[in-house]
Amino acid sequence: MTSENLLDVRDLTIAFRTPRGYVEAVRGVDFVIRRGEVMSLVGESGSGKSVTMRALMGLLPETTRISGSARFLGQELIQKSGRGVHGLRGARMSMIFQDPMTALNPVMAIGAQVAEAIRIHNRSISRQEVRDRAVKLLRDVAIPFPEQRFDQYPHQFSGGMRQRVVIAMAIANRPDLIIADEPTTALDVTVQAQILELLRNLCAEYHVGLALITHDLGVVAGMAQSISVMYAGAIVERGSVEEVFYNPSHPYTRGLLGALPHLTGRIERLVDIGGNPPTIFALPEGCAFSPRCAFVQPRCRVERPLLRQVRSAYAACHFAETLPAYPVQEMQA
Amino acid sequence: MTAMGTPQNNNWAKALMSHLRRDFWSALPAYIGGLVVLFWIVVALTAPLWAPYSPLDMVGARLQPPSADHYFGTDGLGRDVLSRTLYGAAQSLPIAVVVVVVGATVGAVLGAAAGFLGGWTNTIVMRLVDVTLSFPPMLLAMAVAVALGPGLKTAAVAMIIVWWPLYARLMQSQVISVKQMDHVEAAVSSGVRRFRILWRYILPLSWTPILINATMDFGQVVLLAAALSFIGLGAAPPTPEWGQMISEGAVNFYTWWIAAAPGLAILSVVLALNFIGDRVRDVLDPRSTT
Amino acid sequence: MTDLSGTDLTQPPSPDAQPDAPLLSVRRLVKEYPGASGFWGTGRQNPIRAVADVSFDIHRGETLGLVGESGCGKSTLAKCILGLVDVTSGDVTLDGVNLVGLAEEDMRLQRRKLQVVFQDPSASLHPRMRVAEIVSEPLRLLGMSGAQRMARARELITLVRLNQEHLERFPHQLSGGQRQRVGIARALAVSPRVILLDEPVSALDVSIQAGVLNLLGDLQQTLQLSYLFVAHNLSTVRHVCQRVAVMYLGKIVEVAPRDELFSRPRHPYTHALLSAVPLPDPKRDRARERIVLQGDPPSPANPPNGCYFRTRCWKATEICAKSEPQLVRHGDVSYACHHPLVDEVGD
Repeated sequence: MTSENLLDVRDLTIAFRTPRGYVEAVRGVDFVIRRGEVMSLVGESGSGKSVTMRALMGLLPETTRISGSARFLGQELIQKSGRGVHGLRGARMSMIFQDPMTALNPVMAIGAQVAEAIRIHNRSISRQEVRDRAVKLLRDVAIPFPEQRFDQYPHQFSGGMRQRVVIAMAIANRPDLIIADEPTTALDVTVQAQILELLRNLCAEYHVGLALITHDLGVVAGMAQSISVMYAGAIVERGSVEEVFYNPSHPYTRGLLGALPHLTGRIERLVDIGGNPPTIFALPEGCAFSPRCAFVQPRCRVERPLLRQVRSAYAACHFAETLPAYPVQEMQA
Repeated sequence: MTAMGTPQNNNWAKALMSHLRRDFWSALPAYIGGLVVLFWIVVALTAPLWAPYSPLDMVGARLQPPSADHYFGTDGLGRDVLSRTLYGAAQSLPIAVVVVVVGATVGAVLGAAAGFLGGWTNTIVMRLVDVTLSFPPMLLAMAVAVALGPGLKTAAVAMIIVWWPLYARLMQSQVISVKQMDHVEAAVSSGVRRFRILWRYILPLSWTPILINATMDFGQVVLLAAALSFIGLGAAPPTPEWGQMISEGAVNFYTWWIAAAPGLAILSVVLALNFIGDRVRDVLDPRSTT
Repeated sequence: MTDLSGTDLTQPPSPDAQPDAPLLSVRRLVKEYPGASGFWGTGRQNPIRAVADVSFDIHRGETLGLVGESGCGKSTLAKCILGLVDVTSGDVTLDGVNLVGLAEEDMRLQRRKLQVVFQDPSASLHPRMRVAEIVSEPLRLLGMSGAQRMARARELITLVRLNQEHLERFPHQLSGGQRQRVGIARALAVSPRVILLDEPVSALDVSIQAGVLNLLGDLQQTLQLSYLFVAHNLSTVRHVCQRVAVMYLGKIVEVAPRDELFSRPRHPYTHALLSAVPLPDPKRDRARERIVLQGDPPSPANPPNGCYFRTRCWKATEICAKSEPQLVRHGDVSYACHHPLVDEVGD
């Protein structure tokens, strides 16, 4: 496996225009996605995870102020505007949304939508060839009877089948990078298992990079190689899934993992982080997590911690090294 | 959610000012609308004090175009159009108010009953609504007005009969949709009394569209009243009434000024009420609550 | 903790109830919705059986979990129990009183024993009422005066670990977790015996869920509550429930004590459901054997004959198409399957 950097994001900052002036929703985010790798961006609602990815896809309103750098296949995405980047985005980089119903056009046949995704970036091929390729794509995402279902409409598909169609459209042009924003959140758990397996297989087969945005740590554990945990618009911890799940360095990550009920092992009282995530309009001074942190020190309330190396991972915490040892999880036994 | 944290003190005054300024600009049309409506109410009450001439007397030559003596000209009988328009406010505005208020009340009560109780009440009320709405409104109003005899009062009754079903249908659908909201089911489940559910949980979230529609419909009612007068079923001549005046003026294109003044009056009232209606919707729409 | 409403929770249940009778008992409950008919009123389709012959009991102080995927009928079942929809047939007995067919006012009076917490706290609270009023509304059932209701509201708000100042807020001025605590306070107001929790944490962020779940657990301990916990998240269910019922297409396919169900599922569907839950543990999640079911659940308007699950089941044989398996008790585990995964435990 090559370790070529597909996407290299540096110091990405995104500010939205509001009646009270510009407000930063994402503050200095760095991460890298390699070819064939699943990188997961985890956070709760309002943490800035979706905004980050939407900025890379160019889906934010014109008035948004974006700074920093995001190099995709060596090309800078942030300063550019206009056709060049648009083409690059659609063909080499594609997106899967949370709600497959709204991502599909309800009055257009499924096959036609997949065909359009093929033709947008490849205008020269014939109708028949487009149809053949679209049918093959539907087969690749394991839609039964693709020829028959080609002419059906989204409402004739179940939620899981629709998400498969969206995935077929996303891989239509053999992209190098797929951004999946909560791809299974709207689905039932047995259907989620199907879609995750499909995504896992596609990533291996096509050797693409996958940016998986989710709030579900279970999905991350099974899918991703690396993970970045976001809180209040910044990455607070980053590392390999093993490092972050078994030896989390940031109190927020520890809290999140402890807050999860488990399917196996002893049943213990859940860790209640307490409080609420801050809104981007009223960020606390210093560390954004400090008002909810069990290990808070005076320094945390004045100085914002930067992401720095802690053991083999990265964490944005002044006291990452001196936190009590993380309890070995029951479930590992 | 946004205003949860207290803003820092030095920014507080600034934030308040910008808030006021923003609100002022979005509310400006409503202010203007309010002033126009106020103007017409004052006119309706005090027309004799301002009007240059008596509305019924022949005070000049026939069909004079606007001049310094008669700002809006004279009509076919040599009456001053401006004076008649000012006096007309006292005829046209009260009838519109009565029709809208009574129509909206009757419609809202029946619609709410139909939506809340369902079953037979719903069937009867809604079939009545369907039957009424299946007549062309003008024809129905004419039929009722003819049956009751011409005159402003019977015209008002006729218009209420034409108008209530619109509100009933609106209220019924609104009540049904609010009734299915989670917080209403939660109230039912926690044992709140049936009547209180309607009064405290459903109606407060249902009546705003009625209010908005009523302000918007006001102009329509003025126009329907005008149309009834036009065919001789509303105000009896020589009473100055806007619709009546337009009907006289509309006969001859070359004497445009006869219809111009009452036309502008109706336009200003309708526009003003629409501005107010828009603002009412912006402020009261539950979806815009922040 | 003393009882806060002034009513005695330790008093024996209604005299006609047996001393060890279940607090809430659902028997052969069926809820059908009429099928769609054609434009000309012809060709009416089969009625949709959202709930098809469901029975279960909840005992004093117990939490029964009701799990299943969307469309399995668990929400409809909840509405039937709450009397929010009319039941087609069957009984719902609460503390010796059959709720099905009760007159409206009688049902209303029974509600002081059965309260509910809804999934989405931002939708289930009246948007224009202050918290104090929301919480004290059910107290009208007890005929309390305004001052008494206010005093009780103050107690309740402390009970759910909010502050007195929250009483003056409107729902939109609270965070999601705080709103759900208000929903819980409202459910607790009349000191009910049973609380139906309809996905109480699934609309909340992960870091907020834990606090609400802990609160629900503590309240159950101190107030001797029985919960019916309706949820789709199996990990959460495992955390709070003593017994779990699994629903598929309107039927209960398995009921078992928690540890039995999670460690030794008998019904293939239960097993598939458990195996589909992603574990927040990379090594274990990748190492385990995963059963990925094929296809989607069939439409309840047109269920398969025989066993409803056989179209997706890897153990299905001829008999599954021929005869519909009944929910049968084997010790303290009940399941409806011709080919259970673990050998029957001795009766």
